[in-house]
Amino acid sequence: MVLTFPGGMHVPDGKELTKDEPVRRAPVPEMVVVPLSQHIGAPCEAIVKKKDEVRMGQPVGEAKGFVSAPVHSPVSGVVKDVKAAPHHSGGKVLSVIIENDGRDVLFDGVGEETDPARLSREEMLARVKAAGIVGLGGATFPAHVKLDPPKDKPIDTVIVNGAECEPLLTCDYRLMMDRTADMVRGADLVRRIVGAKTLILATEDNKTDAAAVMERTIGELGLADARVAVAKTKYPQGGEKQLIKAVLGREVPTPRKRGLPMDVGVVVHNVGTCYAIYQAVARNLPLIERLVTVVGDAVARPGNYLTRIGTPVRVLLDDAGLAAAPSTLLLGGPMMGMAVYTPEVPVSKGTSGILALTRVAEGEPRDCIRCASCVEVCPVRLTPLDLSLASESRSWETAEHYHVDDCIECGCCAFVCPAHRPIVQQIRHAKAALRKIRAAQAGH
Amino acid sequence: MTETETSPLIIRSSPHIRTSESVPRIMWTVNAVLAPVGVFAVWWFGWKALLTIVLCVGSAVLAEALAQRFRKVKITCWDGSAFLTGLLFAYVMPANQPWYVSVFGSAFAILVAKHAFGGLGNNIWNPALVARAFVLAAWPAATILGAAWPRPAEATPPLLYDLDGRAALTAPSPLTDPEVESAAQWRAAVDRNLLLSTGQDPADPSASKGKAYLLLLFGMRNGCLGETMGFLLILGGLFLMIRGYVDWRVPVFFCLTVLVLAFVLPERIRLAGGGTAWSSWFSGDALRHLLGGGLLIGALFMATDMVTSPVSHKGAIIFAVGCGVLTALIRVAGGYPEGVSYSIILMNTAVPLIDRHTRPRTYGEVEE
Repeated sequence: MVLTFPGGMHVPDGKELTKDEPVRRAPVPEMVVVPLSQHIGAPCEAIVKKKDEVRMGQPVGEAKGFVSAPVHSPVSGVVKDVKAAPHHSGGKVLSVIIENDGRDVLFDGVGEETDPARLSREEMLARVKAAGIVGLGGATFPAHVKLDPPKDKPIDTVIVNGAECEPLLTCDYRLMMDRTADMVRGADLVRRIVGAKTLILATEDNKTDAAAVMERTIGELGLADARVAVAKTKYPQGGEKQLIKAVLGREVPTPRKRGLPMDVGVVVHNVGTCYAIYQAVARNLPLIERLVTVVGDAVARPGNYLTRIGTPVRVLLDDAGLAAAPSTLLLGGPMMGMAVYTPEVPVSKGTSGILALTRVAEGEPRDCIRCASCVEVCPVRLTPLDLSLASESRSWETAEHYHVDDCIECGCCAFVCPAHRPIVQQIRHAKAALRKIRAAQAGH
Repeated sequence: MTETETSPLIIRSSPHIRTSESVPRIMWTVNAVLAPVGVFAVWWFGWKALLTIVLCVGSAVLAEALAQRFRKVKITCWDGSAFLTGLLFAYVMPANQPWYVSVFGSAFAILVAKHAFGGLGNNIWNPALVARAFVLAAWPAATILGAAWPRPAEATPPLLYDLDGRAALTAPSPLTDPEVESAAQWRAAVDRNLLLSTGQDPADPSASKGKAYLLLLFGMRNGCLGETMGFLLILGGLFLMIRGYVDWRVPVFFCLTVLVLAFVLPERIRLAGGGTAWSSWFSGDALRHLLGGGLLIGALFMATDMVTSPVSHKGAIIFAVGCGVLTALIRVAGGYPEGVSYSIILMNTAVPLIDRHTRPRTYGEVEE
C-alpha cells in the first residue's frame, strides 16, 4: 500500500546537489548573534549582560512561560552587547552578541555522559527543556511541551518525521544517514517520555537508502514495536498532519477545534529534534549547533554545514562561495522558507537551509480563471481560490467561513496557480486581519 | 566579504518557486489542439470556413483590445483567451454564415458575455455559447433556420468545394426531426435522414447505419464548422485531459448521460397533420446523438471551460450530468433538434450553487 495523503504535488526536488556531499564544519565566527526568540512562544529574557564572560553551552536567555525555550551560548567568550539585531522574521529582535575567544571552554556539566536508562521520565523532560530544544524541522515549537501532553490525551504512537519534503534541503537526510544510531536512540527516548507503545520512523520513497539504514539500526539497537514507514515522495509529506494521515490514516481535528496530533494519540518529532533530544539527555548538550543545507543557484559549492547557532548567514555563504549575486536569500526551503533582508541574519534553531537564489517565481498576478488546480493540490482540502478572492476583496468573514485558519501555508496553491496569484500571501493577510478582529472583540 | 553585502535583497512571501504554467500557455495550448479541427473544416466546407474563422477570431481579439482599453486595464488581447473565444464561436456556427454574424457575434461574446462581467475569470457563461444564443436570436434566418447550412459533397471522398450555388440544396442534419405522416414511419425517416446527412444515398444497397456512424465520427457530414470532426475533437480532448487542462469527469459524464437518456427516453414525433406522437421507451439511437450534433465539441471544449465550470470533482460530475440531462430533454422533447449549447449555458448559471454545495470536506473536519 502506498502511504500518502489527499492533495499535494510532486515538486522537482534538486536534492542531488547536496545529498551526497560530506557534512562540512561551518567556520565559527568571531562574533555570534544569539536571538532571544528562536521558537514559537514567549521570547527569552537575557540572563547575561554586557562584558559578562560566558562559556560554551551556558544559558544566556531564560525561558519565560510554559511555551518557551532557553537559549545558550554556542561559543566561549565575552558578551559584547544585548541589543536588537537582524532576525529572520524580518525586523530586529533582541539578541545576545558574543565575542568568541576561540577556546570553546565548556560550561559546567555540558557534555557529561549519562545512561538515559537510569533517568526518570521527569528527569529526561527537564533535560530537554533546559537544553532549549525546539522543533528543528522549521516549526520551532518547544519540544518539551509536545513531550508532555495532558494526562487525558494518551499517546500510542510516536512518528519521527524524516520526510524532508522541501525541495533542495538535505540536512535531515544527512542526519538520518550519518547519525542514525543517536537519532534512533533519541526517538526511542521520545517514545519513553510520552509513554507510547509504537515508534515509526517515517521518510519518503526518494530516500530509501536512509530507510534501510534506519531499519538496520532499529535491529541493531534491538528496539521492539519500532518500524520504518516509507511514504510516497510528495510535497508536503513532511507536514505533521499530512504525515499522520499517510502513515496512520488518522486525521487530526481542525485547528478551529484546537485539534492537535495528541488528540489522535500521536506525537511527531523531526529527525533532527530526536537527535538533539538524545544529545541533551545522554550527553547534557544544549542545542547550540545544527545541520544547515546551503544551496541555491547562486551558491558555488552547495553542501550541508554543521553550524553553531548564531552564525551569521554571511559566514556560510562565504565558505560555500557565491557563483552569482543572489537576488533573494531564504532561510528554509523554497516552498515555505522566509526571505531575509540581510546576510547578517544569524542561523537560529529553526534554520534548516540557506538558499541564495538569483531567480525566484515572478509574474504579474491576473484574475483567477477558476482552473481549480489549487483545489486539486490543497492538502487541507480547502478551496484556495475562494480564500484568495475573499482576501483580495477584504471579506475577512468570508475567508473565515471558508476555513482560512486551517491553512498550513504549504504553498502548493500558489506554486501551481497559472494566474500567478499570491495566494499564500493573501491567506496570511486574511489570517492576520482576523486575528486583529478577534483580539479587538476579546478586548471589549 | 561577498557581494551579498551590497546587492539589495528581495523580500517576498513564500512559496518562492512556481510551475511554468500560465494562463496564456493554457489558452494557446487549447487553441493549438483545436487548430487541426479548423484545418479539416476548411478542407470539408471550403474557403468560406476559413473566412468565418478569421472573421470570428479577428473580431474577438480586436474587441478584447478595445474593451480593455476602454476599461483601462492591461491589454492582454494576445493571451490566447479572446482568440479561443473567437475560434470556439466560429466552430459552433455554420461555416458559411454571413460576415456580420461572425463579426458581431464574436464582438458580443467578448464585450457583453466577458467584459461586462469583469473580463476573463469573472464571466458567468461561456462567452462563445452566449454569442451563439445571441446570433441565433438576432439572425435566425441567416443562421440556424436558414438555407445557409452547408451540405457535404456528393462525391466521396469530398473535395474542396464552394458552397455558393449549393446553398439551396440543404441536406438534413443528422439530428433533424423529420416530419412524418404517422408515428410508424418515424424510425425509417430518422434513419433515412441519417444516411442523407452523411452523404449516403438511401437507395444504394451499400449504404448502412454503421457506415453512417463512422462517417459521422470522421466528420463526413454537415453541421457546424468545428463540431463535425468528432475524431479530432476526441483526440484533442484526450490531450488536454493528459495535460490536466480538462477534467475528464465533465466530458465523460456529460456524454454518458446523453447516451443513456437518448436510448431510454421516448422521442417526440412531429406529425404532418400538426399533431404529436412519441416513440417507444428504450429505443433511441444513442450513437446518432453522440456523434450527430454538437455534443462532442460541447462536452470536450465548452462545458470544460475552467471559468464557467465547478471547481470540485463532485461538482464537476453534478454539472456534467446536469448538462447531459438538459441536452437529452431538449433534444427528445424540445422543439429544437440541438440542446448542447443551451444546456451548458443553463448549467453555467448553476455553477455557484453547485460549488457552494460541493465544497470538499476540510482536513480535520471530523463528524461528531
